[in-house]
Amino acid sequence: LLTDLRHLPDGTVLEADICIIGAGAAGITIAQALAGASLQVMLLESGGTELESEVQALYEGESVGLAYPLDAARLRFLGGTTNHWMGQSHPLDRIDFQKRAWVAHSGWPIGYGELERYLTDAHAICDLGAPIYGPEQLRGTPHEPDAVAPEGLVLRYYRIATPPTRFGEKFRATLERAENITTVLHATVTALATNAPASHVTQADIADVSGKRATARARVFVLACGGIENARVLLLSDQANPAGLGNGSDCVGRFFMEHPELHAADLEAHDFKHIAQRYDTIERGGIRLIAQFQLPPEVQERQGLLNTAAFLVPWMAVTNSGIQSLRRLWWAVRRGRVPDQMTNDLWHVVSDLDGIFGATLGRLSEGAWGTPAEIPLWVTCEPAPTPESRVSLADTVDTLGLRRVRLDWRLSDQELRSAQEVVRHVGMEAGRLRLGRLRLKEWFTAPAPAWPDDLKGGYHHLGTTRMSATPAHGVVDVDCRCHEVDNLFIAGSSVFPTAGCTNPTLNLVALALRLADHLRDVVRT
Amino acid sequence: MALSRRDFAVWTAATVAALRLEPALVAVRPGSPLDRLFSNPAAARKVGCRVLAAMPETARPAMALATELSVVAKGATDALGHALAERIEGDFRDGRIVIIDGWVLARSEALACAATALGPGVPC
Repeated sequence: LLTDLRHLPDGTVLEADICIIGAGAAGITIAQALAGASLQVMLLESGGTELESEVQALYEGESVGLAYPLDAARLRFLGGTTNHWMGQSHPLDRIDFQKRAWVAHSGWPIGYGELERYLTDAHAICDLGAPIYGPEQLRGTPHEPDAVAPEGLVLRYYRIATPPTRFGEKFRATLERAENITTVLHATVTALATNAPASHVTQADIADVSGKRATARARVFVLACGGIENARVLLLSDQANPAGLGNGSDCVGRFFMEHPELHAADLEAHDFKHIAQRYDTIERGGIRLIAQFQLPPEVQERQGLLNTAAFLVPWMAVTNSGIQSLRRLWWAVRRGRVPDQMTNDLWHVVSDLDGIFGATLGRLSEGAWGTPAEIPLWVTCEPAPTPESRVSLADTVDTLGLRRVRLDWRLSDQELRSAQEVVRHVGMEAGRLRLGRLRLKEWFTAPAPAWPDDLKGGYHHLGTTRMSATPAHGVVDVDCRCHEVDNLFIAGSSVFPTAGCTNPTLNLVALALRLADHLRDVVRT
Repeated sequence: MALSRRDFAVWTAATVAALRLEPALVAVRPGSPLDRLFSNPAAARKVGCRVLAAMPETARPAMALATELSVVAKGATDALGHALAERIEGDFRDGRIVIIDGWVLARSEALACAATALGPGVPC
């Protein structure tokens, strides 16, 4: 059943066995996994089925650390941020789960096996085909990669569904048909009410942007609002404890992580076609693959580095201004972003139609790849988990009167060192394999390197309700249950203690499936 | 003056020509044996000047490399290309790299360029 708070009477009380707050990747995954089960599920979504500016404005906040577009990085309607997800998928690595002496606050209380158990099902949900990520899948094809020296770099492949899975679109019919699921649109949770010691959630207070109020009651609550909003809801739920719900360890909102993405270097390639065939997007059986060069675990340990990867972007390597602008626009649109230089780029496209036409024709014919000026090399870094990088509440309020988010995103020298090292290794391999020579960006070779002004994140939000073995070091336990609240579970990448160097969606979907299994047992008992 | 992309485009094109032993692209020119390796010795010298400016201590090893390669190759350009290519590959494999104006270069290729810039009348 799909319903809308706007169409319900003011003061309505909704009831279910399980109340899931947030209909994004995590919330929808859990709900659809419970479809047909002998329990009642309520799925609360703050937005409708399309983007609405009034609702989206609830995401506005203050960025006081590294600049961050809080409202553009997330989407608040059915399907959540998957509505602009690029679909890049790869599991976390085994090393990401380990306690690493050289990475402060590292280590998960569960092992890689817990993720691995659910990867095949998570692949099906994300339309990714078989869980194969290595170069062996391209053996004997024109895309077979160069023999990269494994002691310096590991080659792995991201998998991308074509088009990327939009969870709202894909699972809407399931949610509508399931007799045991009620999805309520325009239902923003304003706080979780608890008993006096704040050890049990009694209800979720709900409102829509017009001010209509309602209440959701359930035996079990699952917070699945995303890596920033999960922390915000807990901090806003401060009736029993001024520090917020589940925040006895002062970890709620801390350890915020985001993957910095950097244009770190350019490859002066000897043979563009050779590079493009192997390192541009590869289509295989309806799935797109993108090669990444990753630092092996041994190198990470030996040199005290974070898990970091680099990838070439041959399709951005053109000299023609019109086609370059067109590609920048397309790049932004694919990522659901407003292009950085939209006016300039549109002008270049319009004024260089001849060039675009010529380049398009040229690309259609063999041998017309030419020799491009340079091929960008981008780096994506594991962010070090640091308590000072955090989400807290601002003094300003949104239209519902709720305190907005204040984000203090921080990175350390360790990410920079790790990025430099992976680029150095790519430079060495490019030379050894006779692919060309790499040139580092100027900011990267400065005597005292600092993050560039145009630093971007992957729009990944992790760590703010981290999983820990004991209440002193995190917010949720190994079952994703809040240490301090017996009927509150948290889903999504906010529970990740470390972030690896991969997009979180596939991983959070796998862990959401694991949580759904656990919730069945919880409700049954 | 920093090296431009064009300088390096010329230099790397010359290098790869030597590495792949495509004789048509390797011009035989008068001068040192290393000079004969580069289709554009001027670009190689310019790179060499930057290497010497960034790392003055490389002058002696650069000359030593030039001498050693000449002896090994006995003046034959193809053999010289082979010898240098092997060294460059070994440098990249073993992490013996230098960074000049942001370019990640094998130590041997940086030294080879430096050697061409040590000749008489080179305005570094």
